[in-house]
Amino acid sequence: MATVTALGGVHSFRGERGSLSGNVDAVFSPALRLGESWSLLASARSSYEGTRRVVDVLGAATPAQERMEYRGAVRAVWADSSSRWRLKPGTSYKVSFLKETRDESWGGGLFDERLWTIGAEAEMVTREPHAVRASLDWFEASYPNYTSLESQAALQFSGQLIARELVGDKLLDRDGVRLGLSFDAPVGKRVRLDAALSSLWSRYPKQKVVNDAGLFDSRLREDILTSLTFAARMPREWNADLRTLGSVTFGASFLSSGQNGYDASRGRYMAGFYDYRELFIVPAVKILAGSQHAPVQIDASAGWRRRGYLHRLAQDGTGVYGGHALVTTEWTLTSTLTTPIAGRLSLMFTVERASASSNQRFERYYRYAYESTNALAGVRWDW
Amino acid sequence: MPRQLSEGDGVRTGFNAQVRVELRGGSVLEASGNSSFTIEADNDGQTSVAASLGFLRLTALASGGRAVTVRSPVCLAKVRGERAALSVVVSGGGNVVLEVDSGLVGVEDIRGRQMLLNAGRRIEVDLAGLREPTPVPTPAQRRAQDFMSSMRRELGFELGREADFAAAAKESRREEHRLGRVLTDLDGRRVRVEEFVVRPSADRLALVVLNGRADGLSFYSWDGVFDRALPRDLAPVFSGLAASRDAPTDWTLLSYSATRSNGVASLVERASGGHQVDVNSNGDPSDDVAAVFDAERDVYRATGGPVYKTVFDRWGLYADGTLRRGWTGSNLQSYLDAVPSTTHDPLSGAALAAALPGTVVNTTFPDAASARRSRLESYGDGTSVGVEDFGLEFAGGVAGRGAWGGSSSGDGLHRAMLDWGFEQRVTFNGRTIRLTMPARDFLVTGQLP
Repeated sequence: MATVTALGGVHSFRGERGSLSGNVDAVFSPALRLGESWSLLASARSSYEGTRRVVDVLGAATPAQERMEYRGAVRAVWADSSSRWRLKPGTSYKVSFLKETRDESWGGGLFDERLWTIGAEAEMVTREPHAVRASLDWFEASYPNYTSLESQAALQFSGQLIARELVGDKLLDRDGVRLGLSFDAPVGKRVRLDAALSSLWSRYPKQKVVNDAGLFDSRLREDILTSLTFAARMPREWNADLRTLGSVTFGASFLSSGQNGYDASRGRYMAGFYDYRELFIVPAVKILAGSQHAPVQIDASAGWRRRGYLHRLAQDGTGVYGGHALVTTEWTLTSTLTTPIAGRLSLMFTVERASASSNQRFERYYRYAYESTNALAGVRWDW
Repeated sequence: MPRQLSEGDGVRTGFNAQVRVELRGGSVLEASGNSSFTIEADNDGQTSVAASLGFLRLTALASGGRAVTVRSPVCLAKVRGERAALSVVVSGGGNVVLEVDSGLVGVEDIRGRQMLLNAGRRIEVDLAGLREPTPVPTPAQRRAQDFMSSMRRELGFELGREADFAAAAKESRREEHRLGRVLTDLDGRRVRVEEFVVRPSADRLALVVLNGRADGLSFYSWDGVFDRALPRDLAPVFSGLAASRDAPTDWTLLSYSATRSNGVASLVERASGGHQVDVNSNGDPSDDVAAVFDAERDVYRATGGPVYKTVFDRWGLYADGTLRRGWTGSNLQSYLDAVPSTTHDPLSGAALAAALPGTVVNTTFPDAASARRSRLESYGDGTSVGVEDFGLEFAGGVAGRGAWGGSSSGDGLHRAMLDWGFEQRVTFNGRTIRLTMPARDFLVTGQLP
């Protein structure tokens, strides 16, 4: 199995248009039958992103951004025709390179990431093709180029008072466990329901918790990110040449972090600084027109996402803290037209728009309110 | 468990279940797990089965003019001749795959188009009608197709598995940007910023700002010693550092050192002998304060009453460890009474190897179009210390002069500086210390002239 997508286009942010750039995404996946019950699925994914997408960290608005990712995974699948159960142990490794400024080089990006996962999924078929799935993964994420300045300073300027006790170096590195539960089931004759719950427990082995004096406690930071998603999908054949798949996805996310915040220049401490709740809803429609084997496909979706921090206060334009918790709202609109042109090759046109707003007025480092659009065109090849 | 079925009865099988139905005339219908069908008619003249989901296999005997049919959502299959075996797969969307194992079968789609299928032929049917018939796949081909279908499904799961990890990584990066730890400097290059407090003892406090660039670290630190233990909540301490309205602060800053360094070069300002003085009542109108910076709200508030500032009896400025300028005094109430140091170090009292040269300070805005201020301290020996302040654009580069408003000094300029990114470049002895950090940190610690 293989898919290659190559798109070129432009990205604009707050009315400023970026230069013409491109994105390429390639997936190659050989599968091997090992016996009556066991199969092996390997996959390799490689991508380059020169044009920012609406799902990116847009508010950073860095002058230049390019990303490359390489991911390899192996998954064994045990499935016996006499059993409802399928077991799938697997492992994956991902390397990400990110250049946010012109002076960063490939491999030297501050947020370059390595991600290991190893785990397993158990699936119980309820009524073919519907199933219930449970998965457990251990992971380790590391940022080889990110070392806290404070830990560097402690070594370089030893003897000077410019580092706290218990300071850590690889502050963003984390490991932990992801637990996932999901199921899909028909609801009546026309609707299919997908539901998923995931919980990601992360431990930061080098990041100590900041206390109300602005110093480090001996405790390590631990986060739990919980996500709950429901999707109702409604396939329909209007006539021989027109089929649609309507869907509505809604969900919620909760981050509970053991880390606090400390604004040193104001001597301001905020417990639970990172905790938030987020709600989102995404109605979408897929329209398939023409031949069933090579239809023209239109995908369109609108997304609304609102995040409220539980303890982080919004600031005014200068940075003075107000009395209300920080809230952000984001709208996204995406549409893609895919037209088969020859064999396995299709033409693709994508337009995406994101609009964000917030009660946070302090935007010296990050834009909380913006309009962003990107337009991309290219080809996709499936095999 | 055998059961009697009648016309109109429906059957739905569970997972991995199998059912075998013996029909009139000797025909046999078999269905595998997760299938659904109805016996529409089964009498002397005809047998008709409606298949709605799953896999069904019919071994039909149609001798004596008997009609044997299988109806699905998108087609009707009718046995031609006396004997035939066929299988029907109805998917969730109603599409059908029909295969003829033996005999002859007629198929008609919902548009009325008809076709005859011989043994060994297979056809797909959907709302669009009959597709082109193809040979029935061999068991090996069928196995391969099933395998590929299963693996495609697994690949979808595999690629979607990473979403939570990607979300967590995105969140880490977003927070680094939001907290101002990753900025773009005057030259459009990446600079990392970390800001924190260090409290080595109960009566001591240091505010530290670190910068990390591709070519190394630089830092600003302000380290103060007070006359008593400080509270855990430092907000009121920072509020009163530069000045206090109406009454002195509860704690008095006795000494401090403010350091700008890149590890090679350092510019250090040191002071001791601190005590609080009402500068509006000290008989020196040149140091009167008309408005005090409110560090809680980041505004200047006018005052007509007492304003207390810490006045130091000993002060010195050191470039790479060498004294450039200083003064001394005793219980100074105004810096007008300070005695400039010439032959002795103001802090240690040690004799200097050579008398200090005279100093001339010149402040300019050298570029009318830019938020840029230059302060040059020239010494009689030909050396100098240059301090340049810049207002920064969001994505790097110097902001326009309008960013700092119309004021060229005092509270108006300071207030405008707070609203923009800030970079300070300190140059002396042929080296430059670059500091990208909030102007507020300089202001609160009394280091923004």
